[in-house]
Amino acid sequence: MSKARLNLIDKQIMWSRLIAVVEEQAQTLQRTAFSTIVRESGDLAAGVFDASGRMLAQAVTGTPGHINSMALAVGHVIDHYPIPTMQPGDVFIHNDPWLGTGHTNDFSLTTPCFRDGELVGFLACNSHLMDVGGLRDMSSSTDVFMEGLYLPILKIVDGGVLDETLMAVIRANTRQPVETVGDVYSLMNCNDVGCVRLLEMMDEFGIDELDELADHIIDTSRDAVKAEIAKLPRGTWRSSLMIDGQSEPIELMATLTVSEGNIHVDYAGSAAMTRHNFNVPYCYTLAYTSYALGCIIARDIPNNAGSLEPRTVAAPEGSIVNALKPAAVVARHLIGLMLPDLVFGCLRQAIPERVPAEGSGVLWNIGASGPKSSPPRFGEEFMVGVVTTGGMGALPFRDGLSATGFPSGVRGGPIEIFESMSTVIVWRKEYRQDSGGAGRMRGGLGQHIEMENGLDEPFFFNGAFERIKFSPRGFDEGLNGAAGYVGLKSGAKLPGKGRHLIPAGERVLIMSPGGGGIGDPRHRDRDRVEADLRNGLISAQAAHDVYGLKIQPSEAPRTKPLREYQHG
Amino acid sequence: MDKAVSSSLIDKQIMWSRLIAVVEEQAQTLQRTAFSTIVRESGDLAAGVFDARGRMLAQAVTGTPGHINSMALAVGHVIDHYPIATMQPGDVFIHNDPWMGTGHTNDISLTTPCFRGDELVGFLACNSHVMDIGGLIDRVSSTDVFMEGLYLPILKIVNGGVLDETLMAVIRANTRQPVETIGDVYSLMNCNDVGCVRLLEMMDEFGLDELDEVADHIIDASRTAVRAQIAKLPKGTWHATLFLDGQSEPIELKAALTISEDNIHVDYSGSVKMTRHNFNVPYCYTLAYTSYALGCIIARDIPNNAGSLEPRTVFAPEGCILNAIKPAAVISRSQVGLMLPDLVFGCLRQAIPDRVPAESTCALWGITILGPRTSPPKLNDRFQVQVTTTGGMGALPFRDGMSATGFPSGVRGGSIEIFESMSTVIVWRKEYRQDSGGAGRMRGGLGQHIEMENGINEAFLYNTTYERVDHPARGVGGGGYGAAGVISLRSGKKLAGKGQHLIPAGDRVIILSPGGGGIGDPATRDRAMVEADLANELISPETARDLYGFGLAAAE
Repeated sequence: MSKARLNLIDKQIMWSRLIAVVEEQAQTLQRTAFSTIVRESGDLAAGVFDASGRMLAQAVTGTPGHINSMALAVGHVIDHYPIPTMQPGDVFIHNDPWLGTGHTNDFSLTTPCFRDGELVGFLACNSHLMDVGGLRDMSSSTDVFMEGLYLPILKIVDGGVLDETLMAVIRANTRQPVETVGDVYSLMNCNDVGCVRLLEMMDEFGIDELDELADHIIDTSRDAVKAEIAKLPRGTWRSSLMIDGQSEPIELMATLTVSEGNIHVDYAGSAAMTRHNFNVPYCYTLAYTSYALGCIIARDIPNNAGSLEPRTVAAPEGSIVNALKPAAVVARHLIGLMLPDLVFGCLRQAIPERVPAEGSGVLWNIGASGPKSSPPRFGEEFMVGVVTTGGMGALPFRDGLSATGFPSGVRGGPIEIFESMSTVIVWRKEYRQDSGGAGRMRGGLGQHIEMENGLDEPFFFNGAFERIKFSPRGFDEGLNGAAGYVGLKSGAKLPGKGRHLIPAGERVLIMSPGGGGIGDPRHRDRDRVEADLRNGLISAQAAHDVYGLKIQPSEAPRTKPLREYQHG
Repeated sequence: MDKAVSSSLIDKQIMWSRLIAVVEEQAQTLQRTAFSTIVRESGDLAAGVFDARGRMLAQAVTGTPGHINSMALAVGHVIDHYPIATMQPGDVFIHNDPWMGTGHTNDISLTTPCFRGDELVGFLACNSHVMDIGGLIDRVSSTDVFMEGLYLPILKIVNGGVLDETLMAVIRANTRQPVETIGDVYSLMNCNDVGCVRLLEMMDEFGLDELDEVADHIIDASRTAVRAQIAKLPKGTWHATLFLDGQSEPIELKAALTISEDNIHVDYSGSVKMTRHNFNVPYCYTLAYTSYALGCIIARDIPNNAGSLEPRTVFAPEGCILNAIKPAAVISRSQVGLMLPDLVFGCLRQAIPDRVPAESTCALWGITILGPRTSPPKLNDRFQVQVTTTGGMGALPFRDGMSATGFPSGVRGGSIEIFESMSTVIVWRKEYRQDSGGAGRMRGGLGQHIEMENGINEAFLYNTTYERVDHPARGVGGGGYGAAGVISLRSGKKLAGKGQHLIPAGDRVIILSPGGGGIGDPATRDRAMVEADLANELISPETARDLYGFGLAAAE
């Protein structure tokens, strides 16, 4: 049915409304999720797509690894289940790392949305489930088959009828059947809510299909990004980044090219796939590269198929950033979350005034498991995780944010929830003094955390951390952020990746990294140095020795011993 | 439907034999169409026919007790989950739930209701070991069942003749060998289909509309026969203990065997608790190998079915290693389960010493290897193969123990040619291991001496999951111990009985599998037999002289 053409204002209003739709969609997911990392930290994505599978809007709540890979996922679903075969009440599910978000913990759901029998668009969402079977530690899988249940793209609801067999298989292949099945339902509901709101919106605006709006959104966004790119210097810049890795360090290389209407990042020269489990499927590489570019050059432009188009990525097949099936990928974030720093390494050479110094990158997520009682009873164990963060790199015009999950966008989890779901007590969680790389603009601080079992039992501590060997680099005479550290209070250092049995009575010490600084610390505004000193963010010794603040020892507030710091 | 005229006893016996032929063909179908090497080369499978209530009527001789006796229970579980009234022609059920199947997720069980017209007349069931179901590759480091591969509760995989494509897609996605695994699922389906067709043909031929009468005959006759055998045995309770190598510490198992008028009961109380290693044993598997051990001695000629199994009962406390509870790691349950007959025999020998063998190797000494197909290696191009290899059986009081024989598993040693053709490894030696049979009046069976090396200049992985390295098979009544198993490299290093070992290029693995225990004083062994052993090089001249006293001046 043909309607009068929409005017520009209508389209802008509808666009904003779409963004509200997806925000409600994401909130539904977050509020009904069982997975702690979803409900406490927002490790999810939700979006609305047009009838060709192009992403029109995605929720701000969420994480780039999920969101930008979700942008591709609907296309994959359509490839496997052509649109003419779809009907109202169909829902598709998958956790295929190469067609989803990069590892099997993330379940993706895609729901076609119908108006009077016509497909008008898709809702899609994904979230991280705490357990899908497979190995428990996140460090020792050597192929994807050890990482849990693998679901190719499947129809889980067929014309409104749930596939009970598939649900039974999902339920049987997780250590947390209640939570996992609950999460699947929360994902389904997320899309359902999105579809209802989408149809309401279409009713309200009197449109039968989204095509005109979709074209507007996508064309406008694409043009806006191209306009931003047009302002950038043309050229090609190269950079490299060292990653701690597991048995040996890993070198990544990037070549960034700005051309007419396009930014292209090529990871040729990066290390080959590893026998460890942080290989990165291409979708995740693309996600974090697009995101890094977007942060700097397309900040105010909403994320959708149009705005993503001018950002392209290449990575050789078989490289660690384009890993092939059945590589072990569960910990792909250990590489993926570092990519923005590498991209920034290139971009900084083109537009230094807009690019931050290096930051923690990788999340310092803490996993713990152990018996619920002392003595232990078989089968009665807790298993929890909490998102923990380090410092961001300074910007040329602002200090780096402390204890902030960049680029993941995932929120640090509250310790209260972690404690309430485990027997562990967190004795300390505070800013880590002197961890922010010194500079005219200071890097953000990491955290100082200590935890111990409240029961007289050992417990397992899981971690997969980066930035222990290679601290975040500062620039322009700014110093590096502090390297991370994990160990026991009694003295033993723990490897950055692994599952460790912590004896009863022992306390784990976790010091997350700080972000790099920018500019000569001696040029830092004196008031800021004094404020940092007053707030305990830097020690008196650092204030004096590094920032050149003239203070008497007696004037200095009580501080802790000087920590290590490194030059950029 | 009118009841047929009651069949005569002879008819029923004929039908029974025919049923056994039906299941044998069923099993052959499975073995011939299987992709899994351990199924097609070694018969690691079970197939059987069940009545309309789920009672096992006959099972194929081809197969292994761990699969067969646990399959006897599996159909009952299927009916619990999917009441018979909900079943229709063309339905097929699948599961690999270790607690409802055979004890680990590698074994896939299929159950098919068989209809004559609209009436359910019985069930066909089968199971087999698929080589890869995802999960960990090594067989030693899982600490719960979720690390061991795809877990399928009892599900309908074919619904009224329509295949559940979604479920097949999930199975295909969760194995490193999708072609073989899917092929094996189809082979299991076909196995049951063939059984059903033959069963219906048999019913046509004998003019039966239902199996109830012949089922009752089979089950009652078998139960009665076993009870008659038990009645002849001395009554009482006997205890025994068996030590296993384990992985980080030895495992102590205890059994108390009680013979009463019409029942033998084995109680494993006092055995160690569940382990953090992955050889916990679900109850179904404990029951399977205990029933089997008893059957070998006292019910040898009585066919295996619900009736003959009934008088053999087993108890193990929940949480004990022999009654492990979900979600324990169970993939290597055979390492403990296969040893149970020796423990049962330890009790039974005290009651009827003249009928019970000495200890055997029991555990399988299969060789599992993994490696690149080429040098240099290509990504994702690896072989993963396994060949069943065995050690010696314990001597019987009246006969030498069999050499290189898979008792109690019943699984056949695989051919090295197949193993070599599917890998890059060359087997340089595979022969009887001289002097490994426990000396005795009746000598224990010999183990094997095997040597293998990679034919390409690459390292390969070798998984060991062995027993009888630290605790060799014991002799009886003056008979000597069987030789302990030994695994080493030519370069000198000894390898642990349980682990995943990287074998360097150019080095050779030497596998000496254990021997069985002997019975009786070797000095009393018939001289001609000693001479024959010597001539056949089963014993060395030193052993002949020192243990058997051969060639010495007659010690009057």
